[in-house]
Amino acid sequence: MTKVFLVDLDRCIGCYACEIACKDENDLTSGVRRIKVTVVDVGEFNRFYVPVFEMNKRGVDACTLCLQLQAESRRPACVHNCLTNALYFGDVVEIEAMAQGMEGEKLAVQHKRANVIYVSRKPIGDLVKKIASGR
Amino acid sequence: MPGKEDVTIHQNTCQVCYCDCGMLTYMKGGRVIKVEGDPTNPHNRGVLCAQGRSARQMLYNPDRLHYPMKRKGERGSGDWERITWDEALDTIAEKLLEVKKKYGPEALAFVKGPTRQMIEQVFQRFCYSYGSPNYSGNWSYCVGPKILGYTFTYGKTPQGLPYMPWSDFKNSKYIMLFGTNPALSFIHRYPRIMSDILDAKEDGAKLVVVDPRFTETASKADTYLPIKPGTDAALLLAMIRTIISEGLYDAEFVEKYTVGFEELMEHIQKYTPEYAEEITGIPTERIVEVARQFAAAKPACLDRREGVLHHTNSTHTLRAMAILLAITGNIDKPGALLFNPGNKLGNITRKDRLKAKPIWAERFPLVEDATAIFAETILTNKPHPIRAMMCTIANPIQEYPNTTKVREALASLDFLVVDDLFMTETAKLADIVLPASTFFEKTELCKTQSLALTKYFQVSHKVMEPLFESLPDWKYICLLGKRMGLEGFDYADENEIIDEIIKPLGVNVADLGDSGVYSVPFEVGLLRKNGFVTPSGKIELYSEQMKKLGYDPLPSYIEPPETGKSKPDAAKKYPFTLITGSKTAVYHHSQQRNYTWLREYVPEPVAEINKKTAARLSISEGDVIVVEGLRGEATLRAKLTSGIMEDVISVTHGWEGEANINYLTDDTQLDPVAAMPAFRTILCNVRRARA
Repeated sequence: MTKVFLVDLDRCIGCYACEIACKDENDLTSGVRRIKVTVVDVGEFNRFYVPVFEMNKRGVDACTLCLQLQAESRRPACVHNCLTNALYFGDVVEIEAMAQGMEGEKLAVQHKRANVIYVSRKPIGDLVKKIASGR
Repeated sequence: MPGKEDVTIHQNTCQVCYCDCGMLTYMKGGRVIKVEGDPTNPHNRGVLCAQGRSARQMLYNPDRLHYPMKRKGERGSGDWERITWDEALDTIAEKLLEVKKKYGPEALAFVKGPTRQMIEQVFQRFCYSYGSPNYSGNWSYCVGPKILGYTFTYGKTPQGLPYMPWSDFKNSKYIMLFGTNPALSFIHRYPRIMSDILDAKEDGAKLVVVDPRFTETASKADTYLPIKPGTDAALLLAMIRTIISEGLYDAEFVEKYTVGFEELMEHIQKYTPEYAEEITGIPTERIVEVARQFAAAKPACLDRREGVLHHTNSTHTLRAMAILLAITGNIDKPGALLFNPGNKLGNITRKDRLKAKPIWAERFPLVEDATAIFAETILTNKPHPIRAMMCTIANPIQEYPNTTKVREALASLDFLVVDDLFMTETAKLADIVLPASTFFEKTELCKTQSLALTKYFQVSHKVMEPLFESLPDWKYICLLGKRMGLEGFDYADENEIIDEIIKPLGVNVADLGDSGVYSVPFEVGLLRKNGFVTPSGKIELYSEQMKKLGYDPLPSYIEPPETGKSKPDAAKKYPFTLITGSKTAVYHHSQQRNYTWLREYVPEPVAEINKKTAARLSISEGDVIVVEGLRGEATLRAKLTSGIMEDVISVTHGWEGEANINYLTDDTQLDPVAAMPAFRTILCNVRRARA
């Protein structure tokens, strides 16, 4: 079944705990960022922190969805190590139902291995959309 | 990932910063292969921050010191000779006894960095057994003004110790934060704090952030109030005045639990919102609005961190905070300010045997330390010579105010020994450098500082023997103590020391098992029920105690010593305001610059400058700039942002070399009660570096 990440943009604080958890879990060398949080200022005192999962690259640079953790019925390292519960991961049915239950604007980004749904109670805007969809 | 079959998981405590989070350490073949947050830990609930999850890069860092060394060439020449622990300990013992004989025991300064309960007590036991009262850490750079301001107002624990009150954000309806960025800096040593604040927001709480910088936390606020650095007390006093004059205070609570309301009412008259606008830069109507909202919200929280404390007026500011919380009744109830039950741990420090008075005793009789005055004391021999210093995981050159002076002072010592993981700038000046062990290689008693919040403490067991020739700090101190003929340093291992400390609780290390966790009972409402341990038995809005000690009995706004108003001539040359000490997600003070996973996030030291200010100075993003002030200068790269007030420059502390911003900070102007130096609100100028 298709796997989906859900990102609650209202709860991402730009602490990079997800990025480092990914490095620690997958024993990455520095410079490799399979999840990358981008700071997006969309106006005075209006800022988003946007986690982007690296789905389009190949080899060591690509997100593997932490299959080794999934094999133990655990969630990917970035998700279980999120300090603010801004990240969720699961089967498409479960996560889409969850997203539907949440207020705010939604942005769905399709990837080969997993889709990502971004949710925000603030208007997401073009700049965030562009970054979230990797364009 | 390696094969799972040989992997063992150990429950210990992350000691990268002061939070002391529950950790699971995964090991294979004697090596740590990863770390995770302990999901059973009520405090971090399964997560670790970026720094905690990088702990492997501390343990296996190629820069770690491997063996003891003694200085061969000039101080700071970098010319070292490898020696044995025996030789190192013999030399230290000999030098310290020599200094004692020549200048008396007070001539030793013991300076420590982040420590936990067990090693803290062992260090003190050593320092006090030697006879020196000059044991010092970061109290006066950190919690001092809060402890004193809140203790004068709310009193002490029934055991006579200071409380460490904390805010119950999760259950609050209004959260007002001053000069703190819990998204990255974990107020109350609690990495899930922002999660709880966001939960409260989702339950309808309002979040108000008061800060000169538009921080990660401010980006989640309902109301963001940029404020001129060092002026928080003016805003708080205007809020108190508005709440009192509009009759919005909790009259029942004030009547039942406080004294001094009449005096407060009279004192506060001059702090109109218009006056506060002039001082803080926050418009009058917004001050009145937050005051009304704060009074109406039930319950409400008000908290702060170093953005407020790192000023020489911060005891006043904290008194104003304590009073604002009290007159609105936000004390000792869910969703408001809570009080820990008090520490019942044993004391093995032997402080009671001390005869001499610390160097700060006369100027600051109430403080636990006044670390900023060491440099001046060393250089002037007043009030008593300091001729030897022991530094343990402490880095005065990169952390203390006025680096030029600190460097000169340390270089002039008869003897300096530094125990650390790495060759820090302080270690470079030492006569002897010792290789310390990380928390993976030693056992420690953790998370005892704020027992109420965490409701537990943990004995964190070592997961491996020390690497190289490194030694755990307790072991080094015990070996040294024995060698110097001091009594009571015969401990065989950490468990024996911890057993002595936790004995009053009726438990020992063995009882606590592998997890080492001990739960502490906690009850809200005990102060309301049992009364406040102050001279009046009530909350003291007006403090007779402070008056008797020669301090102001009511809080005022005091202009910081370096502003355009207090130093108009200097301000012509140095027209900007420097603030230091803001946090990044990846560095804890001067640490972690050599962890490759973390360095990529903040690769270079930067100065944050408002885009408009930068445009006026023709400074572009990434330019190499010099920030210069009355005592020195630092060279950094410009980082342009609209997320900082105009004419305010923010630089993170802790960098080495010419990026060390403490070359500009001041060690002489200190908070008169708590000895806090001015790490913020420093006059400065900014210019592009000459190519």
